[in-house]
Amino acid sequence: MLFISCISYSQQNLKQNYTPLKSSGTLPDIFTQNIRNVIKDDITELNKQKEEDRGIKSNYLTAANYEIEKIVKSGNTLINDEVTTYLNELAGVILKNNPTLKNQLHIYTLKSPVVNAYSYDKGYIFIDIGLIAQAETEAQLAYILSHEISHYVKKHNINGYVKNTKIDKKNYSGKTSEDKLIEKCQYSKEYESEADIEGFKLLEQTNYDFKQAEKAFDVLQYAHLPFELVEFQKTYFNNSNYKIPDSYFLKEVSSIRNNSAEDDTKHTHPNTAKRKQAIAELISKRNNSGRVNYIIGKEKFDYIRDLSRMELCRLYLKNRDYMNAFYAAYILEKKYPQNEYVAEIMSKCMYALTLYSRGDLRYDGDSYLENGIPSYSDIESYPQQLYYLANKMPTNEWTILSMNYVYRNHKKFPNNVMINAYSDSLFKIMGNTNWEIFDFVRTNKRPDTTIVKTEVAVAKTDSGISKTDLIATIQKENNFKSYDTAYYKEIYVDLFMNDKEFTSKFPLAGIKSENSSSGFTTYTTGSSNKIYTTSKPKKDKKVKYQEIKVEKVILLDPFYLKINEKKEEEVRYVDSDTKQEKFVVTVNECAQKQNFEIVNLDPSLITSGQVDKVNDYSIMNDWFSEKFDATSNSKNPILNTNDINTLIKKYATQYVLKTGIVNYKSKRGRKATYYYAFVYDLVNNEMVYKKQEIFRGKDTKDLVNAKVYQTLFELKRLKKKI
Amino acid sequence: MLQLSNFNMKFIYSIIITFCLFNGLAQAPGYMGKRFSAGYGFYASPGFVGSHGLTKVNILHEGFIEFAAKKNFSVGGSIRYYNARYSNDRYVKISNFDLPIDNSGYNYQQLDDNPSGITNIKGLTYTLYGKFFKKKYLAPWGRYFLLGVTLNTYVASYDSDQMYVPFEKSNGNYNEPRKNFYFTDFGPTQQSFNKIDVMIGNGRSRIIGNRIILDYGYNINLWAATTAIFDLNDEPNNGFNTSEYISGVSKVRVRAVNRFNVFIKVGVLLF
Repeated sequence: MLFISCISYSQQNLKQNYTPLKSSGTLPDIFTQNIRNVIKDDITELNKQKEEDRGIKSNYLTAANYEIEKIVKSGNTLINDEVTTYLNELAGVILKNNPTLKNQLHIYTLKSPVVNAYSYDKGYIFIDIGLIAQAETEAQLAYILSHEISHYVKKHNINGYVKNTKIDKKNYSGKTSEDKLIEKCQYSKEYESEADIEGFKLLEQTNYDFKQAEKAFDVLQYAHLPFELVEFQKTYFNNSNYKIPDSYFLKEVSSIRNNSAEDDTKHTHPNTAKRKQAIAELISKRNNSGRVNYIIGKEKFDYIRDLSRMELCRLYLKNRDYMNAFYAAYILEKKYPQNEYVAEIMSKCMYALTLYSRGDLRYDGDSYLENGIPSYSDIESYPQQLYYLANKMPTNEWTILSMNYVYRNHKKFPNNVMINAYSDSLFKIMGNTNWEIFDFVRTNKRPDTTIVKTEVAVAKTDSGISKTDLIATIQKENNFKSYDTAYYKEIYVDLFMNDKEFTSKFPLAGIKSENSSSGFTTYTTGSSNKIYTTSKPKKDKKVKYQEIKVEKVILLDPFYLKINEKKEEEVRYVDSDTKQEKFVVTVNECAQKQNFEIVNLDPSLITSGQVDKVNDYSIMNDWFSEKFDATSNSKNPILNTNDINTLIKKYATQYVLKTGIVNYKSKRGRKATYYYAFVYDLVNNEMVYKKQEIFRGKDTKDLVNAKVYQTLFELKRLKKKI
Repeated sequence: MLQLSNFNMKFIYSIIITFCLFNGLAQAPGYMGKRFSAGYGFYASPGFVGSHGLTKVNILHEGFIEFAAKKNFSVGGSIRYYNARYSNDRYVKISNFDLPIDNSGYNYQQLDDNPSGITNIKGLTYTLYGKFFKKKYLAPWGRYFLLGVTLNTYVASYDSDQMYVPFEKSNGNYNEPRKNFYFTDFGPTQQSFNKIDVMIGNGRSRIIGNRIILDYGYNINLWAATTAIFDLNDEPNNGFNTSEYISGVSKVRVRAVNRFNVFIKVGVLLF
């Protein structure tokens, strides 16, 4: 902690750009300590104290230690970064009179868009980026931190575990599982209320404004809304030649619902109204004069919050929450109009929504976007306009809009590789349609529809006209109608007139794009005459194979899990950890026997000085997070991990091996072992090797050895379909 | 079993070697890169069905060598040895032509239906087999199906001092003493035979300490299994002829030894 406090950072210039938050400095002890020894010591200590429910508590200590280790080493936990350092500084302010308690705490920032904070045993407190982004003042954040510290001081986590376990074990004859849930929630609410009060008492020892404690609950109440309520301007995408029709916007957005007094019977936390009331009662008995919103400083708080908000955009993108990402960036753009990162985020969102609406991005059941862009009717307040626009605007019009937006951002930040890539990719999409320069340059004068209508009227009344002639006339009329709605026709006029790059990149009629140089989705050639459609590639009946010969892989976080339903503690944490260690050794041994190179990117092998590996691991996890959310076999572009190319160069391989074993023993004593190994090609964004097998029986050493050896053996002789 | 006369063992070995060399070019992971193994196998089968053995359990000892030729296939060769003794409990048909001519007016009266004593069978079973490992396993590790051909060579021998059929000779005169006679001529005292069969089986091999193979399962000799029902009542209507007694009885017993066996093998992964 002393070391952390000594780290000084040069602040980022958010007016120009933002560099994603990364861990730095020396890694904490949790990275180097042996978790099994820690658990052993904890349980020995527990037994010495001769407390009640030692069996349950012993299980808790095992599970909690692993849980904490898992979170800290997940790659989503920021260590010694600016935000985490600030949170520790804030804890120092809160506990200035209790340095012993302060030294017991391990406070970290979690890279998560969720608005929440978590307190664990042993003083581990995790604050989500989403929460920091929403906080309005330093005092609010201080109160939330105080609340979490109180959970730790009051040992709510371990006591809650004991109570929940007892409830689970209770004989509930005639009662449903819902009754159990309600009872558990009741305990949980009591703990939350206690933490609210105790947190307030901690706040009392500082000079923070008490009112901010009450307001902190409002922040939580409206966490589903953007971090600032900024109206979405209908003219945002407009320019002198382009105006989105009003029909694409709502006349009035929905109001914000107030559900602060909702039924909290089945909630782990009391409803906001109750919590606010309890705090308000305390405030009414205190003198609040002279208390302040900022002790460390407003400027510092604003900066840290803006860092979090910048990071939040990335996290939304990672979750494919393009609408929220865009809106968050939209708000930030108001404050930082020249920020390149913000422009990149917005360009990514526009590009992703284009692909998504065209069906070129697909996600499976775990994804936010499984069922399409969320309906605008569920959205409250100003963001509803954006959702409405995205829902109402047809795909082709969105593509035109998107290309216009991204290209202009490219012109604004010509050196931004990613924006340039998205822009190029959008040109290729245009190239696979029947749009041509002519369609956008010519100013189509609206035909005199009265003449057409007269013709049609005549045609319809003239009994001598043929059926086909009549159809042709009606079609002609319809074509003219489409001109009426072509509000976007002149969107690129200024670019065609003044921008040579745009003109040269804009596809000529009938020329279809070949492979994308940007590494994104390839748009194949076709000869379809249908308007505004991309054609499908012709199927080649002959399957050809190409030898890959993978000889070096990044071994990403090998996984081992043992589950035994016969035991009270079903997840065998200690056994799993022991086996995992051996598994890593096995993989490396098998690799050595075959002259196969392995680069271990495994948090359990990271030493205190290897913070760069933690960051690499985090980047890799981000990449896989998006990859795994895609439907199987799809080559969805990975939009949110810019640094992956750096890692490919750094480790001199484009292949990543994810492998693991799950051993399961059922209540009846049946045993099964699941082995998996997947190899991904980061450059080509595809899975090149897949092995999933289930064996009846134990996870014997020969099974593990044989399968791992086989995997590496096959990788060296790998062939893929081309 | 099928009769295999003049079978050239060199032919079997040349098949094994050619097969190994051919498959050596194929790519197989083996177990941690090791593809050759050799070891000892212990086979056992119940000794009461159609065998009339003096022991309850037939026991065979095997030496084997195996080679993981492909990912899910290994080829092997083995030699199994067994030594078994059987009581001569089958009826023997001794005609007058088999008996020495006696001009003194004495007539032969057979006192027993079957010879006394035992028949000793020493056998070597040469096997060429393939192990077809299930899809997710890797030769030489895992569950497999066994298919092979076997050549059973065995020597059946008897001791003419022990193996005989007692006769009583009398001339019809009750005052004349009866004479004992022992029929001992059942052909050569050592008789060799070769039979071939097709072997199938199932097994599982485990690897201990990356070096030792522990293989267990069962095998069935198809021809022997097919004839099991007939072997339960293997006697010709009037018993075996004397010259066919050893061959007729021993082939049934050899089949019984090889018909069904459970086995456990211990081997070493060589390289």
